Amino acid sequence: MRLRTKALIAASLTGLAAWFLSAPNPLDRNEWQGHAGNLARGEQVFNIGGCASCHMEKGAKGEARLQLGGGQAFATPFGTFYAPNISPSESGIASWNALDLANALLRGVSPKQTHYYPAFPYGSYTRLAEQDIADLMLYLKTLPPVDQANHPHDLPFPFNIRRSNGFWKLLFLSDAPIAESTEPRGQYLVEGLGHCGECHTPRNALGGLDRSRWLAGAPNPEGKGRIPNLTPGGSLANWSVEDIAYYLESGFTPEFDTAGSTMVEVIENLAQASPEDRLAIAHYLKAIPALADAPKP
Amino acid sequence: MNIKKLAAISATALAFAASATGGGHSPIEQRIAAMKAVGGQMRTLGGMAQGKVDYDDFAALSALEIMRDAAITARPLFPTGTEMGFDTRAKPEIWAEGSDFDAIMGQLIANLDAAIAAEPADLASYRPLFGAIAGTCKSCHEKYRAPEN
Repeated sequence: MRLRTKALIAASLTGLAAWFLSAPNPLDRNEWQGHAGNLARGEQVFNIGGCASCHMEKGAKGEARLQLGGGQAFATPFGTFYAPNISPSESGIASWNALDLANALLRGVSPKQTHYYPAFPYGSYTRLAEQDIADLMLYLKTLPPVDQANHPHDLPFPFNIRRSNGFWKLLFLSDAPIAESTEPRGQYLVEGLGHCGECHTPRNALGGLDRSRWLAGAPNPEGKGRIPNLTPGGSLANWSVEDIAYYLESGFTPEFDTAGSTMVEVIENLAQASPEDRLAIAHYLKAIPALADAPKP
Repeated sequence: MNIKKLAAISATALAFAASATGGGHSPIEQRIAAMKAVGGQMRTLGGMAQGKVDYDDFAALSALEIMRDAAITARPLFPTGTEMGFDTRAKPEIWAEGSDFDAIMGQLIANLDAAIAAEPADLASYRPLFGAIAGTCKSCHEKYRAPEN
């Protein structure tokens, strides 16, 4: 065989392998259990998951927080993402069933079998319980439909190639537990539904979470300052479990300073969670490995 | 409230207001000191609202007065041209078109005035007044304060 032919075959095989490796990996339709949803629990999942914070109009208050037409812009090192419409309208999720939602949250795959970008934090949501997803689906369908078309993401090459998310998933998408914990509910809320690590853990050059620095604080993607260290090695060292739970409910630190920036929105959501869930988060955080703050840049 | 108490409160308030402006020469340093004086009173006020500390009308009123004076001191210390420097956590949005930063500062001072005028005698009448004050802190920090460095 001539060398050129050999090279051509090798290249084609590599391309073929890449194509298969980067393919979306949806759930097996036959293995999805048809859970009956519960509306009240769905609202809890919605609040702790913080869906509104990204999918509502920026700065919305009160009832407007439930109008999930999308459109908020998120500037990142990889380009600017725009949150899509997840209201029950034609531009949103009117046609979705619970399996569609499960594929989005657990696998980062759309009903059209394409990858979502991990700006949508399925890297955390992949740990969600099937029942929570069924409950959430029921709740989302009760929210007001917003008729607003999706704004396409504004990404430079190569990040504009959706298929490349398949490689990101191969590298970083795993539903394995991150920290050792004796607090399963807190672990589920922090590592999964509450997706705390998405902001509080630094990322590597490819946008994957640096698990060796789990919750140890990270640069603020929105500009000034740092997202705080949540491990017992940071400024939370002197906070009690009750202090943390109270902060998550009220937004007040033990010094009665108030939460700022994006955390205000998170607390608005967590204030609606149960006291037990806030305590579970606090217990989990007190028991994870203590890491010192990263040196100031 | 007797005259002696009032006098004591005013004296403390004056002392704190003076210290609040003593944080250096630039407006940024001065406002950081003033906002620290505002926040410093929150520990007293918040502890009582939360029930960690017993409610004491005298202590509450003193703290409210100090906080009001510090807030009045801080309000004009955000002139244009002071967006950067001294590790300021002030976000550029303060100076952007349509900013309601000054309005929230005004609201904070109005809420403090109202709480002081009400002279809340017990925890039940104090709590909602404190809630209104704390609410202005939060709404402003959400929009206009960046995380710590």
